[in-house]
Amino acid sequence: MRTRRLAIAVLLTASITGLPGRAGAQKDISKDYKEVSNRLVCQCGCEDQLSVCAMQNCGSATPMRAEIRERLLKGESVEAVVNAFVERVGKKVLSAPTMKGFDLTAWIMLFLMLCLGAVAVSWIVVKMACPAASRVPAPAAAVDPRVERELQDFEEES
Amino acid sequence: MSNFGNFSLLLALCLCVYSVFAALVGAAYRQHRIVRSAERAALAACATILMSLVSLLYLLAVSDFSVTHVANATNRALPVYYKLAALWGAHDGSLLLWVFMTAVFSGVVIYQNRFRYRDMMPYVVAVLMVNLAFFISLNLFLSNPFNQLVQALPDGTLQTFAPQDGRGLNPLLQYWAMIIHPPILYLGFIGFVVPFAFAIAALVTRQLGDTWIRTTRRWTLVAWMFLGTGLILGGKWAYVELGWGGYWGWDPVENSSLMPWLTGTAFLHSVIVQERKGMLKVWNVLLVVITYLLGVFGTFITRSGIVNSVHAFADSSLGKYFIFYMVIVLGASLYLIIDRLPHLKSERPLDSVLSRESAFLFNNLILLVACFAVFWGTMFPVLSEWIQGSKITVGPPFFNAVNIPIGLFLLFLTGVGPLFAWRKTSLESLKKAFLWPMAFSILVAVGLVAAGMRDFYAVTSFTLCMFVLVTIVQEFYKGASVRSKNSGENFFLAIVNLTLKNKRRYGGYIVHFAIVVIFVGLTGNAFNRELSQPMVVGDEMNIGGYSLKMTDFTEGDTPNYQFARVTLQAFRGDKLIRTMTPEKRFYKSGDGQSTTEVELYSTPKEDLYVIFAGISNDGKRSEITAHVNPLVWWVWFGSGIMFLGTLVTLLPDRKGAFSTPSAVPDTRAAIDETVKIK
Repeated sequence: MRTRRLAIAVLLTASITGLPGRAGAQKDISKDYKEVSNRLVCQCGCEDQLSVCAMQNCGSATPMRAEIRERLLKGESVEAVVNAFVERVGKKVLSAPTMKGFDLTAWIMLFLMLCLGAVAVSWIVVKMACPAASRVPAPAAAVDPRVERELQDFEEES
Repeated sequence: MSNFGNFSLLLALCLCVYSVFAALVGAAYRQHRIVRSAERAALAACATILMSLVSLLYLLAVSDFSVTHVANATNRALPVYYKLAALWGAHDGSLLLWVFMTAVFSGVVIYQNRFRYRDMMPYVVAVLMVNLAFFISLNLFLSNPFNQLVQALPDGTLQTFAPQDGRGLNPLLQYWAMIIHPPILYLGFIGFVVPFAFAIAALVTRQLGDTWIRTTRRWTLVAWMFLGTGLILGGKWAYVELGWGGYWGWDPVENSSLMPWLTGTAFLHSVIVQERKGMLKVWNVLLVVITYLLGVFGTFITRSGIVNSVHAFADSSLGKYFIFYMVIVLGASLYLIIDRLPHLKSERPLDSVLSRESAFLFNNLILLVACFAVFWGTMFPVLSEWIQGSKITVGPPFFNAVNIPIGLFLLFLTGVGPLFAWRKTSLESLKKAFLWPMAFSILVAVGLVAAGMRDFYAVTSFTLCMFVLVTIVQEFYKGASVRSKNSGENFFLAIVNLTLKNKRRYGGYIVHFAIVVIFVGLTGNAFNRELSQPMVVGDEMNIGGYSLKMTDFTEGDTPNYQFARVTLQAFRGDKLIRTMTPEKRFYKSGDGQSTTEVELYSTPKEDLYVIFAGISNDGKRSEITAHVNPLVWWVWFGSGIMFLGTLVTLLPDRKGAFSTPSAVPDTRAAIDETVKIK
């Protein structure tokens, strides 16, 4: 029984080091802590955000969390903490691409696709629209109310 | 038994290959008997695959650890239902399940159409069997679940052996939703092979009218429904089993399931335009090809090890074969589409830019952009590594930044679409249609801001939810009013009959309503709260109006795992609402993996989600993390509605359902007559 308890205790222990809000914390850092741990990625190989990695005794998340907590308690800003990790580990520690260099294409490409798609669809719509038909006044203006109502009914039924 | 399973699989492969050749030869020489022979061979392949599957299930049930799959995915302590579910607990067995389900889909399609579409069916059979043969080949030659464990004897000879016990099933998979989640997801992925096969057959035979679309509409809906349900079950599993407080993490494997769902949704909308107006034929064929390929791509992501994911199987050598297959399929499909372009011309022009057809086109654009955003984000790390030599992470901050605005715009289009009429809509009628939805949504926006809500996306989302809700209510109200007036039915019976009379349209609205409900749930994410606190017996923590009092700490042992459990009494005000017992489990088998057993108190307003995170360094305090996640319940509830809505659209047509003595006049005929007179 003692061995089992010991095993469980050992397994349970280290993972919680560095969690925010522990007894004795001088100030509330939970919001900043959450933001930093969302912006950084655990380096154990799970590729989860630091806020998500739930691995017991994770060799990467545990010291990272402790360091974040320590830095925030010292009064460092969120940006400063994030930058400190980027300087040491590289940009692979970030959970989203930066807005610099090649990484910028990750963001730009989407808007490029959206714009291209919008242009393409607009072109298709305009091309497919029959010019003659488009000059015909809209049904509400041209057709009497009874027909409009019946067309509406037709819509309901079909 | 493992030899029997292996042999069955090999026989199935031979039958598939024969079926492909016989179908093509039969079609080329117009020999009906040869085509029939191909169909029978295909059905026989399905039967032999079933035998192979039953063999593996038997081996799992009797714990024959001489078989690698059984030894890797089960152990003796595992309950029998998990032993059977371990079929998809490791790579090779899950591939056999994939093969089996592909065979079932193919077999049903071939049997169902044995007297129909005789020109198209040989090609349908050929495509289905090529697809099946590809997956059987992978299963047989590269990832065989019937492989046996061998050991080298001192004299150098190899001998099969069976260990005393297996490695056990991954503890994360020991959850009820995991028994049904993978098969349901597979049904979704695999189902899209049917519309793909018919699309290719239609291209080959140049029969590019509505036939292939009408034939495969239900199949597409079924696949779409299963894929959506699989996604939701996966989210539920992640929420309850992974213990990080969320249900969607933009994981590559989650993304790979979402992509075909998005293109499938686009297809389900754009086929309506083709059926009604004879337009978007090229687009629809392309969408089917893309959706099918994204299904294969999803399997590639899960099985190739190209990306890291909690859902993925370990690295395997299958990646290059998938790429080869996808390139061939894409190339052949594009060639056929380009070659048949003259047959894919629209039958009618677009009458007006302000029409439902245009709205569908924009809906398709946004769905495709959403799909591309997910694809791009998923594959960007691979691209970055290839170009820059360093892998970067593209995680939730990127996906949320990109997809939340796209999602909200899609929600807007969900409401706007029904307000446009087919052919053309006058500005006047548009104004009338927008009046009530706009009025209610402005009211909601003002109310929320006045109540102190400042999160831009949350206010926008709730506002749009109201907008869409009012458009749906308006549609049902208008339809039921007309019906009630014409037939004398009471209003509620009119709603039921209206829905049953036009299941596709009103079932679609039910699905739209479900989307609104799910968006309400998703929007709750903006207000999530989280608190971690070390506690000893007698301590209390407070979060979001709840207080949690620790009353006990226990440890225990079961044949499968050891556990440490904290007992907490959860109070809302002074009222005890639940005794919660979050656990940490340490599994004895395999790698001794641990899991977090979440305790959940779920209400429509919010979830109280409690995790036992671990024990402090001094070994005296238990670290408790509590989340208050508003509105999550609505995600699951909305998913249920979506399932029901899809079932409504799938219901077979039945004349006279709930009919009343005074029949509703044939409005369509009356309108046609009016138009003719005019």
